[in-house]
Amino acid sequence: MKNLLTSVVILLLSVSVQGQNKSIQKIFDRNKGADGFTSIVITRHMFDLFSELETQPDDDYLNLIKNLDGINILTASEPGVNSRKFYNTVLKELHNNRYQELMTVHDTDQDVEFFTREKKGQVVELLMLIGAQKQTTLVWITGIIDMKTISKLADNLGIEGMDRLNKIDK
Amino acid sequence: MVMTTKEIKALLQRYYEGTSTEDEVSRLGVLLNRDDISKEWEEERTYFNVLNELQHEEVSVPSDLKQQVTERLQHEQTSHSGQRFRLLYFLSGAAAVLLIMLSALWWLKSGKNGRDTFSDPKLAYAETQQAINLVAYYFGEGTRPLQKIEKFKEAVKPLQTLQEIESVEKKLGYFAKINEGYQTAKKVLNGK
Repeated sequence: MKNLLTSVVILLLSVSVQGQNKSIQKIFDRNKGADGFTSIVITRHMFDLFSELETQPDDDYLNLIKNLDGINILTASEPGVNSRKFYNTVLKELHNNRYQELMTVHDTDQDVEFFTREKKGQVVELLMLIGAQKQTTLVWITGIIDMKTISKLADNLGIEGMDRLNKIDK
Repeated sequence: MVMTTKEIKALLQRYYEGTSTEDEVSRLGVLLNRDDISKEWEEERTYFNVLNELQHEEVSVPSDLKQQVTERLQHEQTSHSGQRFRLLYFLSGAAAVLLIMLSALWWLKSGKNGRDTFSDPKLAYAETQQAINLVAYYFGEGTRPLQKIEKFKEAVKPLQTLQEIESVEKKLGYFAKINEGYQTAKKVLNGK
């Protein structure tokens, strides 16, 4: 009987740990396919296939990706949805759900917020919320995220990064 | 003797069947307990004597026998049903845990395999790279001021070395003064 109770407790604990990012998952599930929303989901299953691509991806990307569990992107665009309202809703959820605010970048026409969740000294969730005038984008990366590699990629990007960014916005 | 054997057999059969009369039972007792009885009847004689003795013993029946039996039966029934309930409880609990674990496993697995937007790894990689670039770009934007501070620190480092040299020079100046004083004192002493 004790073993049974222990199993139930362990199971409940593991479910509650999973539940910490449930609110973010709910945001994605609720708005997936809704009018004005675009969502992209890339899971670990797909990451595993990257190493088999004909053109080998860059090492920096592969090293970063190999420890990730998934990347989820959700974009809310006007006029289908009130972008600012969605931005505020997500921001509130992030503040309410034990996410640590990493930094805020105020650009000329947009605000970018970074949030993380750590486990045993490692970043296991990284969320980036971009609030532009008519568009809000939420990027949710899960797994073990190597911030040093992200920083290195940031250094490499420079102006080139701006070009790529423009392409994404389009 | 042959007649006796036949008689004993017949009497024993009736005795074991429980159809013997009292006379037949006492006749069987006499025959089996004769001194010249064949050895083959020794075992039967022992059984008969024991059974016969028991038959004459008085057995007292407790007045609350019925109640005792009823209570015992009820106790047995409760104890068995309790055990059965505990076993059922344990099995249903174990089944529930197993079901939950399998559901969780399925949920996690389906989460990893069944929700991908892209089926082509090339497209998925291109999107992943773009997403990482987007994050890296803004991360760089946010950390750039910090990098400037780091660069400033790097730039200031040579100045710190100069300060150290200056400090050493200052200390050397003290030594020079001490040396000067020492030389003057020496001259004065030599003059004497």
